[in-house]
Amino acid sequence: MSFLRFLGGKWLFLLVSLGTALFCGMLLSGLGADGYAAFFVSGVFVAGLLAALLLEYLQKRRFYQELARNLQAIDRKYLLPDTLDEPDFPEGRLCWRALCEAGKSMHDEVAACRRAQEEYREYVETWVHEVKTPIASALLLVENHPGEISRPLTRELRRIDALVEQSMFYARSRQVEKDFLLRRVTLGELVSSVLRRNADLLIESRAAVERENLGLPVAADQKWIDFILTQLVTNAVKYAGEGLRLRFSGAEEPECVVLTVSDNGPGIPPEDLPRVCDKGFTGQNGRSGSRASGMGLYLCRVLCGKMEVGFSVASPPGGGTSVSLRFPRSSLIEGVCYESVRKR
Amino acid sequence: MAKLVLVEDDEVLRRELKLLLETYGYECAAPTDFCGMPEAILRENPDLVLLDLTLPGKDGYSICRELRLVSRVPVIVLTSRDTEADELLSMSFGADDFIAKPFNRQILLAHTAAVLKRSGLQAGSVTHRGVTFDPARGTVAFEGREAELTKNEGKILSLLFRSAGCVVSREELMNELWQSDEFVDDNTLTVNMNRLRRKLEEIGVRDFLVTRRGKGYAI
Repeated sequence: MSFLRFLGGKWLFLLVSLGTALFCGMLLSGLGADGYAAFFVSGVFVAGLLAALLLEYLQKRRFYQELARNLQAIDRKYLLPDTLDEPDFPEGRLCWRALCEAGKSMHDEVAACRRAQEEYREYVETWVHEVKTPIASALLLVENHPGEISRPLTRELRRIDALVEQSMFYARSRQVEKDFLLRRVTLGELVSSVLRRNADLLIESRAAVERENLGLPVAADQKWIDFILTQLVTNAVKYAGEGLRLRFSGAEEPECVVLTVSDNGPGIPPEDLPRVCDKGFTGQNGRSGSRASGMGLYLCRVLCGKMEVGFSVASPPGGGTSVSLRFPRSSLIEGVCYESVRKR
Repeated sequence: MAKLVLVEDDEVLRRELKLLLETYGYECAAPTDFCGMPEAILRENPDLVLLDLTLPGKDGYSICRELRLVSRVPVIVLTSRDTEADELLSMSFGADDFIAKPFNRQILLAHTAAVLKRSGLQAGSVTHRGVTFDPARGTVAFEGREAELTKNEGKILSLLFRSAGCVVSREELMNELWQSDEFVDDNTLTVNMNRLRRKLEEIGVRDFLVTRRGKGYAI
């Protein structure tokens, strides 16, 4: 804050004071005082006034300059009061205390929201784990007592299970902390795992599976990748239907190892392509059968982002969809410490 | 006959799992009181323990750890908590295998058989109606004549022997092959089945592997 702006803020005070000085000068000369003397007294009065204002300005300048500078410099503006010392003039102190109070109440509010969100996420996790037991029981009941409706009922139960799984990963995708565990695995292990997991679905839809060049190692959380690849596999089955050919292939790039999943389905129209990974987006294909929730690919993108795995969807003009996961090589080095301890 | 102890607190799941395991020829004890673990498990002298992780009172991890202090009995953990961290934790507490809920019936049975085999408790070969199948050597024998099986044929026979007397669908057979990373399609299964039949006929086995139209196969 410059001195002129400071004075500008005091215009009423200055106006009244100068008026007073003028009036006193006129009064003195009216009472018969010498013209010079009257001018001198008024001049002393004004000089004293300006000196007082200058001193006040100097006193406040430090606080206001610090305020302006810190406000510019910090990222999270609500931390501003923590960066300032308590000023030594009453208005400043009032202003500083107000800032502190406001900041504190904001902190409390944010903490409460965060706690509520964390509690909700924990509840979702617990609920998901609890609901898995009745799903497991129901599936076993159907298998142990086979009948006419066994097959469709099993399929519906598997769908419920998949949706439940999705809700859990949604809750995880909202979380700030990292709760995944990178381990060194080959692309082949990741693909085999997802094929084993979705064997029933793929066998039932008579899908043909091709695998190519999957010996490359990456660092990944297998359970997360299982979920992501399951979304891709179920999408492929959903849209390609009978005669599905599903292809998993690995490739090396200078900075990363790429896993590409491609199918021979109808593909994605070019106008939908930029938005397929948006939350709640259902493209032409999804809407035509009202089967899409617009969550699958969105979650894939978010979860990949958390693991710093690149995620991209392409649909070549010849038809089909191909999704690429780019595992950075740098995380491979960190991932090595979690060398596989599983017995298989 | 291998004896299993099933530790699961959900009543329906416990009943159905017990039914499943007994249908497939296992002796199965399923305690309903979880206070005296793991002593209650050891009293049954089991060949394998199927252990749920979330139990009233003492949790599965503690039971598993305490069990390991006194016994080498194989443990398969059944759980709905299936993150990488959970899996690593189970293994560090001495579990032999880990199956996530909900599970496929055949996967559960395959894992059970595999763990029993690894611990050397499952007899090497099985015989049904005079036909002997030896999964370790990959051979099938009948009245002194023997035929060698490919890996896929062996997998198919082990599922059929495991389900002796029950009908096994083509989907289940394919799933069995998929679980050991043989991602075959329908045609390949047909080829494998035909070869298997021919091999059985060559060693003089007739009307052993029957086709149930629209349902699957049975021995």
